[in-house]
Amino acid sequence: MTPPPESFRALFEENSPKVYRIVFRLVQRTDVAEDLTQQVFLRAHEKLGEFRGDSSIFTWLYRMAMNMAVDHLRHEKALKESSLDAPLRSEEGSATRADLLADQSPRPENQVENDEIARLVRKAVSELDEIYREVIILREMEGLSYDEVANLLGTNVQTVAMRIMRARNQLKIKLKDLPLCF
Amino acid sequence: MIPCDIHQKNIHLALDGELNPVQQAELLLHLAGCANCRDIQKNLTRVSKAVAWATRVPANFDLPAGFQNRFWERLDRTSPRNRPTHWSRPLLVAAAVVLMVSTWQVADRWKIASLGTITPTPFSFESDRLMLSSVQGAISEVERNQADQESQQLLGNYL
Repeated sequence: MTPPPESFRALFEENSPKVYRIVFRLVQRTDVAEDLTQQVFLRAHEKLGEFRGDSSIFTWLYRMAMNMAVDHLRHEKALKESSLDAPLRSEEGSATRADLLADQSPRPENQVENDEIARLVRKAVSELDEIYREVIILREMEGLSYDEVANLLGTNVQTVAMRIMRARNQLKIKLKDLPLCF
Repeated sequence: MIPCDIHQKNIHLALDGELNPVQQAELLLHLAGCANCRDIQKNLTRVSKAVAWATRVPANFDLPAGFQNRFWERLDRTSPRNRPTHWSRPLLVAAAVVLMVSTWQVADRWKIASLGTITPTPFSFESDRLMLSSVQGAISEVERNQADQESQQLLGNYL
């Protein structure tokens, strides 16, 4: 195997856990998350010379990852095909998605319904415009502050606040008919 | 008095922990007396929790075992510098060019006006010379046969 340049190795080792985590949040399958994360870094390896440094390298990777995850959700309908038996981790005997839902779901009496509700919520997020989707993912899923989101995306706090407000208002409309018991 | 639309914006900020204590107290005071804003706050909280719930990751979530090795192997397989086409494509192109040039040279040397009339240009390859000799021999044979047939026909007419 030809060793990759050390700079790319460092980039991969530092960012792959974060990219994998974000992708997993949307696809909720370890096998798909791994494949998409690898695709992100394969593309990064190919296009690294074209990176102009307008944003941070993580923002660049993050946007590629989000686009791939959203494409996957849209075109492959992966979440519909996903099974409650699909492993969360690649090791044998690890927890399944059903176990995870049983741990934290608001309606533990109906796992199948929970799974479908979760899928529809993720689908609603994936259908947001990119500028709204990225702020809601960074804020709601990754728990970043407005300041951190603004720094990461190369914008200001006011813009982040406005986009989060609009994103949430759009999601409120999309999810209004779902039986969410929070 | 702060209007409802400002409080409604502040509801988002409060959900994200971005309000200072004074603004937070003002919002709580307003919510206590405004059913509409309370309803909006309830719905936005529901949306926020739903998104967090639907996209959560397990505790101690980490890369799967062997993830990095699998990536380097995949990179090695798919990297353009490691693809077989990287070296074989120029060779194939070069072979095609040599074949085309050779064909053109042979066609150029052998100007065939009609069967039996071949005007070869000087040859540089032994194989070309041998090929031409065999073709010329075959043509001579055909010409001899034709001449014999014509002679026999003339002889037949005469007799």
